[in-house]
Amino acid sequence: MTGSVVFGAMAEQSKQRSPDLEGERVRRLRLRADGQRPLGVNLKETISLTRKLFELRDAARRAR
Amino acid sequence: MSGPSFDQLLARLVRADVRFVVIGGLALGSWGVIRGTKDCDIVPDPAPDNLDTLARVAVELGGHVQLGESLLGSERSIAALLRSGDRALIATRLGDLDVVQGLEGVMPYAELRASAIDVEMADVTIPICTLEHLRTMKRAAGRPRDLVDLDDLDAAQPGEN
Repeated sequence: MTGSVVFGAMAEQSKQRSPDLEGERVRRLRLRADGQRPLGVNLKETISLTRKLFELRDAARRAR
Repeated sequence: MSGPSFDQLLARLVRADVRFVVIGGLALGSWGVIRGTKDCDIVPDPAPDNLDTLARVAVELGGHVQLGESLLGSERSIAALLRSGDRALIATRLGDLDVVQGLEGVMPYAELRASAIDVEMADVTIPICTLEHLRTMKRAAGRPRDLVDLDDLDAAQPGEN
């Protein structure tokens, strides 16, 4: 099978995959990538994300 | 109120020589499942002097504990609660600190600390529970959120389960 045929088959397979499945596949790839990073980097990012989520929540409450 | 500053909260505990291990959402995030978490979960060394120091730092940070109709806000009252071996959710100005004690499925401090991973953050060292311990605690808790977390942990750390 030539490279272009393989690419075509992969593209077709990708098109057939539902958005939900594709989103889940990407999410799992991201989890895998995050799991390979140093714990300290992930800890800082978790703390930073938490802070942002609290701020968004508070902003939404104030806007009501 | 701005969002919690769990990095500062943990740094304050470490600088005061409070002995503890981080579990829960912050440990989960450290192992690669990064999501928001409502509080900072720790298992403290149950030695009375350690719990007293923990209570002192909490009060310095404006800490208080809602216990039914009562509001504990003094160092003495929070230290007494911690010494009783009960779990305590301490609201501080740097965020909520969940001091986990006497909870089924959560290993004792000594066991957690013996294999915890020391993580450098800013200029302090934070002990994070191992992946194995985290999984064991999540399985024991068994809430829907914990089962999702376990699935995500498998994706983040394949071959480690």
